Amino acid sequence: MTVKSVLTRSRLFLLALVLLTALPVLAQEQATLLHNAPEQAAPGVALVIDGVLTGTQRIMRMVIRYRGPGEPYAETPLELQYGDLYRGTIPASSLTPPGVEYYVEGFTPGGERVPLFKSATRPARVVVVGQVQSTRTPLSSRSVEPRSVEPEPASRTEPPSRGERRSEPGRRSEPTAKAEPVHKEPAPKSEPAPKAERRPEPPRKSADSDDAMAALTAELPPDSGSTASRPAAVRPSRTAESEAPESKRSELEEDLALYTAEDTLALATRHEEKVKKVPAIAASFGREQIRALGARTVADVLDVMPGLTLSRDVQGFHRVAIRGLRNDAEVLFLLNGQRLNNFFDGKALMNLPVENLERIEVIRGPGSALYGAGAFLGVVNIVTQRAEGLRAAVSGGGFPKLGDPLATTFDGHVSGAHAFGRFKLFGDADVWHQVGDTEAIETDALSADTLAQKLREPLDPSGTTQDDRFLLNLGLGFGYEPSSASNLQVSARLLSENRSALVGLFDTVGPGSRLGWQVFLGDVTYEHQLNDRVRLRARLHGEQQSTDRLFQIGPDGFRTGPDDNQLFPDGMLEQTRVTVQSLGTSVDSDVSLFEGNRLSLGAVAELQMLGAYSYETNYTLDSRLRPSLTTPEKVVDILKLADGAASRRLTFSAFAQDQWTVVEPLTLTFGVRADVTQLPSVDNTNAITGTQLVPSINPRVGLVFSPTDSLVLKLLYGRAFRPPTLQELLETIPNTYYNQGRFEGNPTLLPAVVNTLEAGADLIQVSGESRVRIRANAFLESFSNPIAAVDTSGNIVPVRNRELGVLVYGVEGEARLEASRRATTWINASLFRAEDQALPANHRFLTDTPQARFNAGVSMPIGDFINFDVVVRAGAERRNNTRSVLELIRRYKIPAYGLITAQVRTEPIGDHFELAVVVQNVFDSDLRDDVPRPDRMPGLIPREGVSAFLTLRARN
Amino acid sequence: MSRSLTAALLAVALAPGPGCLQYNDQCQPLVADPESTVGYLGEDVYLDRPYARHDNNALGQLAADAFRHAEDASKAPAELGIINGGSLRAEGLCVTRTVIPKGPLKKGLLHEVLLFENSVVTVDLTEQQLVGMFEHAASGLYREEQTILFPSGAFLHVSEGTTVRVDCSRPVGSRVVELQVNARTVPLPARADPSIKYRVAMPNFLLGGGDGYDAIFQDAATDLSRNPVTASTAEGKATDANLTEAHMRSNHSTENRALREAGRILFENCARPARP
Repeated sequence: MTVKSVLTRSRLFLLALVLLTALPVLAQEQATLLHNAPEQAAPGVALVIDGVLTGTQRIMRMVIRYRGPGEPYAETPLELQYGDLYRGTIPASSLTPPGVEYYVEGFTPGGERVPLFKSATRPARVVVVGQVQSTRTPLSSRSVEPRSVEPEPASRTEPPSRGERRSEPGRRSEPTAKAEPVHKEPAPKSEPAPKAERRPEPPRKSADSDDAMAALTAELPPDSGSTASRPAAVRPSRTAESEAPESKRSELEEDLALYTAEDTLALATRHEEKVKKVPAIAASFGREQIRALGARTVADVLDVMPGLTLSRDVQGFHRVAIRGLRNDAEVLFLLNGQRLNNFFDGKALMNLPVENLERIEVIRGPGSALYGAGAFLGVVNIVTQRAEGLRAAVSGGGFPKLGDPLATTFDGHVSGAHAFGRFKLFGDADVWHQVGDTEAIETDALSADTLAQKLREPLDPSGTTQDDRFLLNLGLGFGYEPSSASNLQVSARLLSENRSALVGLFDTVGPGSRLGWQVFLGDVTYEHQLNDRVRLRARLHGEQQSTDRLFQIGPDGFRTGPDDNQLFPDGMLEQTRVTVQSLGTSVDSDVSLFEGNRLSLGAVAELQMLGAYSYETNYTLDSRLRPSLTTPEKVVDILKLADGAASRRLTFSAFAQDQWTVVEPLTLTFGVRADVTQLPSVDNTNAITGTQLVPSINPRVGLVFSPTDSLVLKLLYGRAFRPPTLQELLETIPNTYYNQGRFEGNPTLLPAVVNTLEAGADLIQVSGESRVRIRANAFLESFSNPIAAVDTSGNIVPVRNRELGVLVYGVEGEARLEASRRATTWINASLFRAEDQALPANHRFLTDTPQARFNAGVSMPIGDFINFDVVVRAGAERRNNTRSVLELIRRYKIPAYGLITAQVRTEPIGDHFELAVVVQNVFDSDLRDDVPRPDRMPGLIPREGVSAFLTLRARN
Repeated sequence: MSRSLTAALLAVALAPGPGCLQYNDQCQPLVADPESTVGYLGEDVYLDRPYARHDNNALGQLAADAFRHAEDASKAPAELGIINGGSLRAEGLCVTRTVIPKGPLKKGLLHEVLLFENSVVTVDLTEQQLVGMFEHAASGLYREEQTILFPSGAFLHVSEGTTVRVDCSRPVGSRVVELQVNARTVPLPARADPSIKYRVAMPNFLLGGGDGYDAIFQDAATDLSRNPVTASTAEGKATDANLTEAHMRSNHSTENRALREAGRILFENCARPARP
């Protein structure tokens, strides 16, 4: 045995040792009861309190202390049901309007009383309302809060990391200590059960099984009795665009919460409450998991989702590829349910800091049946924290540089919510400032000129990447319940970003480039419960986005010739300023047709407008200096095309979805959404003459079958579409010598359509103290008329539909193993192949995103207070596509890569603080991303090197 | 250590992948029957950029000749054919070739060199456009004492019967010192009279404004008074490579009539690529 192998082996031993010792190391954790207080309850009906006891502290027995209006606190015991699940009942007599307050205490072996849930001074408060039974069912089992944005009990929203909720295995000598799925609450079992309806339920079916099984069981359809009373209506509105999925949690979420990997997911459950019925392939990362990833921004999180790959372009935008295809306008980004994609170019200002986020949810595959246009490759919903309380974080660090001081980053975050009776105020703010990494770009399109003009030394690179960024994100809103049956919610948000271009516009380094982006979002939602079968929701939302992108396409002091007016002291510049607005409204309702069947209906109308557009250059078409930035000749004024009709888009949509539980293990979902979209009409010469309404019908069908408690099988079909963006339709910029290779708008573009077939399986297994969750799916996506920018001449080329379509197929899988709350490991992998059907067999593969991705993470405790996390991201080799001769000869190859993030973080210090040190790209691996002109920039885009950050988090 | 660790992790992570990964075959021939001989080269032809973009080039001249004769059967044949040096590619499909040895030229190889498949348009240009075009072509040339670092693809090769004398010591914009188009001597500077026309055949890439010719040709491609005609064959649109192939077959099909470079661009005070 060689010395090396011994060393390797010892390293393995060491690792094993750490893992093994991790288990017992856990100190006694304070016990807590995982429970979510219902927001409201029906009068005169006993309120059942279910909770899971976690922590390793021994608790001999527990009591609920409760009081009705004007009463002193009374006590009632919580009885062990099975596992760690305890149940108690607040007698009906105490449930009188306006409400009841309660908290839970436990008794230690020494007889000491310790608070387990809330406290006498801050009890949970449940509003007891009139005679009307609230039907609103939250998606969630716990259904706790009907209103999505409502104040939630702190325990629930604070996703508590599973960490906080779970006890250590191995330690539980008695039931009390057993780790348990989190909120399995009473209501849970049933899906839609409005919280108010809670009543003692029969023990779960699998009461005798272990927790995981219980979790699954909880998702089974409710007993018939309860179903009957439960209106379908309860679904939170499904309206299309708008819903703020935020606080609604589904059973799926609950279930996922156990496996914290995926804490909660409302995106897919807009219509569904049970994991078994969710007709989508989805993933969600909650706050705790995001932290365990060492992620700092949304892009960091998305890159470890199965099937997703993040890359950056020369301008510095983060591009999300889903299942092998990458197009900014084809991934719908939502922030609290409101669209972020820009009407003009489809890009979204989505790379927000994660500190104030509750979770990030992703549906891979088509989402148009739910979300309408643009939910094409996938849907990403970013959900901000709106839980009661105050949270803050500050972070600092940066990129080390040889011989230079650190390229620093500082960011601060605060979010909070507070309820004043029926009124709740919530808000969040991020401030982010980074100097950013700097990597050399050896060659760009002007390398020869800058050298000849002595603008750089011969041995210097052509330039460097620039990645400075300032971001401000302010969100504020309030919720108000004028009555128990209605709920009003108003929110507004401002996003403002100012940054450099990572490289420049296209094929040259432009250090003087500045990209500004302001987004203002506003939303008003009103929900009303007509009766126990029908719930209505109306929503009004508006948005304005302004982008100001100034690109330097030739460096300071650049010359295009010998004349006086061919010297550009500030470089050659072009500036595009675009303002878009949108205003939308939607109405939807849920109706319970008969037992086990629920129908959702809705309508949406939206107007999107281009408010302002300007394109200006400081050079003429023959590359001579202009005194100031001026609109060059030949630029099409989009606002004036067809008297302005081309710059507006009206969309009308109507949708219906029916969900039918035919027999207990089988649920069918049929949905259809019809959209009518206003697009330009053209004459024989492709000149725009006006607009036409283009219809689109997007159905989806889901079959969800659960043959056993631990296994769920899904078969899904869905269709999605996306209309061309304004930029793809209309933008035409004249060709100049220094600005070639642009794509121009093509008003004849057709909407792209995708049909998707997916088959998935979901398995939970428990082995001893460990839980394993495994998921896998296979998919086949057939794109018709996909919109693609393929360079065929190096000149200005119109964007076109690929008439023969694109076919993508592949598999995705994920697994998560939890040995204890703090010792977990997960992996996910995806493999897919994308083929452009218009090409001969040996040229059709689209290989500019990795065909295989693999991500894995390990979190382990080191002692009582420190956690260590490692995340590995790996991707297969990327190569140029060969859709055109130019793509064929602009060859590049980006080797397979592996990036490692390592993090050390503390357990909560004094219940209020956490400290984390994260190192990203630990080994300073040289990752590159592709460029539009690899022939002119053969080194491609160098991505960020090693960086380190220290973060302090605080909460009250 | 870090690299070996990374490599090990990658190996484990991607082990199942490689068998499933699939990439395009870069080397797939573009045409049927790539091994057939289309004609003979009388000398080695260099494809590196300085030879394609900063000097006369036999294949560039062949293509220009082919374009010039594309409309010979029509009422308005061209007097001049041009092709930009950037159209001659060394990259190839999967290997970069710096030289094509003298002797038989294979069809597949010719299509790799002229691989863009542009159509060819014959159009009337004014004298100012004609001269402006050659000035632009000469603007990227390096002076004698300079090294040819990044020659511009806008450099033009011309058809038989045309000579262009350029003086690189002169400022850009007045480098063309003598111009003769098919026995017509063009006075310099050019006359502004729009009625003076030269009928020129070129790839639609150039006429469409590629390589910086936009400001010179402007809307000539769509101006019917310029009588733009796109070359076609019985099978449909003729590409630059197909026209060139046909011209090679009919004019240089034997070793006796092998293709050789001619001195059509006459360089004065210009850097020249060294011939091995």
